[in-house]
Amino acid sequence: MGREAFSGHLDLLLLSALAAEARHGWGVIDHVRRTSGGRFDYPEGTIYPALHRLEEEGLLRSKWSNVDGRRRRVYELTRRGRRALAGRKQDWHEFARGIAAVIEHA
Amino acid sequence: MTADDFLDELSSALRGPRRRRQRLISELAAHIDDAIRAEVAANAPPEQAERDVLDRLGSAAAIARRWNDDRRGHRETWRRRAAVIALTAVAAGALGVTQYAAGKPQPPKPDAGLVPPPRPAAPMSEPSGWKKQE
Repeated sequence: MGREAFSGHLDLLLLSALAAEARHGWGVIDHVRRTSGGRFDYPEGTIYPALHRLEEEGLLRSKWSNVDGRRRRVYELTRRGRRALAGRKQDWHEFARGIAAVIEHA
Repeated sequence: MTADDFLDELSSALRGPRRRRQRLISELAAHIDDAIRAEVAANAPPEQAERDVLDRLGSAAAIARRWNDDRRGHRETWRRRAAVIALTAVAAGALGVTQYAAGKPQPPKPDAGLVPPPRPAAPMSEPSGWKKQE
């Protein structure tokens, strides 16, 4: 999948990657890559500004933590972040159903 | 370009509070470290691993642009919030002045309840034992 498609849903992917457990930046990227089957081709460095922005919006919180003996900034969803994720997932499913309905009738 | 060059270039291009910039640089340095370890663990030569990891990160300029755009958006959000708070305070003040001028609610009188109301003057009576002068 191209960069534009990824970019439009970056926030949803990041929030989803943190739904099950707290992760550091590399862990988030690795999770998205693995679970998407390597479909997303995107500059990994731009994930970090997005994580900071989501934190400033109150959807994530973070702290320095020791991961495998190394100091890493670990992110997790806030309560507001979980609500936002639920809303965005619903929006996404409605969008996908709409698109599917149209292309199936083409 | 090495990882150090990348981080130096990024560091000089970032805008915003120093603490937040330092945090971003630290996170990216950790990311590079993790990613190179993973590549080397998969039998990539270290120099090749560093090049591949930096390629996947994207350019320092692109990361800085995204960061700086977000910073600008964040500042705008706070400016708008501050403007709303200021306008609300001004509106509340104006409402208070208007209500005061209209007499609603009546401001308490300064001496209300402290001084008893004046009693009607009692008729003068003569002390007993006094005699009316003829």
